[in-house]
Amino acid sequence: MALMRSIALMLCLAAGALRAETAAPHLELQASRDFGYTLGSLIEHHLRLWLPDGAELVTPLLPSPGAVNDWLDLRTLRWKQESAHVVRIDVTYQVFKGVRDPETAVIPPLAIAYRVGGTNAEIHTPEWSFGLIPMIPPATPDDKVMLRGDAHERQFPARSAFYRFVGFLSAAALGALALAFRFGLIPGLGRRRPFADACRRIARLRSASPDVRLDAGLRAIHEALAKTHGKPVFPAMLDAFFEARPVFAPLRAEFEAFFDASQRHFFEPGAEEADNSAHCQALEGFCRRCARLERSA
Amino acid sequence: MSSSGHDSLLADWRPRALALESSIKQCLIGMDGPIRHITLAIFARGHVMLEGDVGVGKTTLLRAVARGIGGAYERIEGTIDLMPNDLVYHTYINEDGKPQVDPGPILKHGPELSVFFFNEVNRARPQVHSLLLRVMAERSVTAFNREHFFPHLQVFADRNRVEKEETFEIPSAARDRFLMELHIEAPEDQAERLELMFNPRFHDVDKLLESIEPGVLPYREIAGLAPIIQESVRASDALQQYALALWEATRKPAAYDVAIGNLDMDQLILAGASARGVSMMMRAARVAAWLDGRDYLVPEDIRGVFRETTAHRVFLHPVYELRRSELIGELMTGILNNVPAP
Repeated sequence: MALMRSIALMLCLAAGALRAETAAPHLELQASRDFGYTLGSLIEHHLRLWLPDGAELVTPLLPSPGAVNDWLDLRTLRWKQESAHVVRIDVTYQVFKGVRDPETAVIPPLAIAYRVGGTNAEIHTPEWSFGLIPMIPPATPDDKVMLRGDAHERQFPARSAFYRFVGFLSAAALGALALAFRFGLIPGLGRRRPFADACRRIARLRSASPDVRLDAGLRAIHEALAKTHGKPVFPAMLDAFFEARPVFAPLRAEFEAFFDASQRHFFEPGAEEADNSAHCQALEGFCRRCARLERSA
Repeated sequence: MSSSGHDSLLADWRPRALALESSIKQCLIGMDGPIRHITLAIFARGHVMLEGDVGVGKTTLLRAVARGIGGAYERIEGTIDLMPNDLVYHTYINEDGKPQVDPGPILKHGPELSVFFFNEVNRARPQVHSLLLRVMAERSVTAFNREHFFPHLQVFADRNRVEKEETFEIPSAARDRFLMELHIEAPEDQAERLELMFNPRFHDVDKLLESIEPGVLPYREIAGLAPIIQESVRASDALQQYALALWEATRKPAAYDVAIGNLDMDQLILAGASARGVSMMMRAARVAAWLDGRDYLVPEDIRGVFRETTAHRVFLHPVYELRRSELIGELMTGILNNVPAP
């Protein structure tokens, strides 16, 4: 049987090339088998349609999924243009006919619409007979029929999905940890960069007025100093600060100038700065130099 | 007096204050901190409680201060049988065999009393504390049917911290009247200790104190100078916010992340510093700014007096009060370390 199907297929393919050049369309049908179907079975038909030059499939007129008759449903119909003259159409039927004894059933022809020369035409699949078999043993009274229980749920291979989930979760956790480490959000861990943060805060204030920039800039650096040292740093504590953080020692003179400026700004009433813009730029530069030393620590 | 008059007065007085400080430092080694704080107290017109072991130089320090300020100096020892009247007068039979009433240590010098030293004040009874409270707060006392005023009086008291038997703890209200509570210790430095041990200069206190020029500070003028100092030293907004935060931290240290071991900080404090206490703190801080040659305050002025002016005004929950000496220092350090400025 299989051999016969193969020979037929080869003949069809060989003839197909010739027929494509002929004017008449031609349709061939392939099915896996024509026996052993039962209630609920799916039947797949593979059609190959040869169309003449200038002809094309009218896809809106192709049969739609739905009931073909009272025991047969058309489930799906998919088509694909294989070449200029050949269209492949895959049709799936489902049988809803229950029989008590084996019998033959016929799938009726299916109309395939195509257009040639501006005119619609149809070509029909051949009737297709197949053998239906009963689901229950022959000669079994209805009251003796035992209903089979529901099928068990299908076991999906979930293990790989689980592993993928764990993998993604681990990657996300590692990423979050890396970010927390980078931004110093893990207490006692990670590289805190208070001066880098202060520089960013100062940079965001470039559009503000010089007075606001100077005030916020001084405060930002005071905060960075306190975070770096673990407690607020006052001028009298500079020696202790440099002893604990020798990396900043090269900037001692600038630190002293910073505290002088801070004292004038915050505590000396009436001590107006001549040019706050210049002070802001100097402050930003000082903060950047501190951030560089902080990074090298 | 005009503003420029005040400025020149302050400028004149500052070298005198520093000269007093310097001359006292030459007599007492290893006491730079307490000497600075007593100098601040003199110009802030505040009374000082001293606390320390026996023989660490408290009395010598006060005698040196009294000599430098000038005016009359009186001293009394606190004892369990001391009564308030003993401070005001004493009675005896005179050489004619008749009873006589003479003024006691407080009244003896009248308004010229400049320094009054109450030694071991916690050995005296609460009745005596009450009288002392009145003298400290109002610089006056009622005796012999009239008011006696002591406009130049500065009280120094010493509390025995070693013995607890037959002592009466100073009530909170009385402690709050002291501007500062100073802890006097023997010097830690080995060289200074050797100097105290082997240099005969330090063995004869009377002779030692003679090196201090008497009346470096004309004591009658200090009361007039003190308010000028307070008015001339300014506090910026940022400074005021810092001082306010320090005060708040004495009441709610947990809000400033102050922690002491595993203690529940919300349960530690019974009462934070009083309003009078923080105003005294600011008085002392203003004097510190003036001595430093500024007419404005900086945080260091407050930090320099915070512990001395505030620690004895913070009252701990009774369950922690027995560990006061251990906890209060950590609390003050924690507050200073956690309150930022600006």
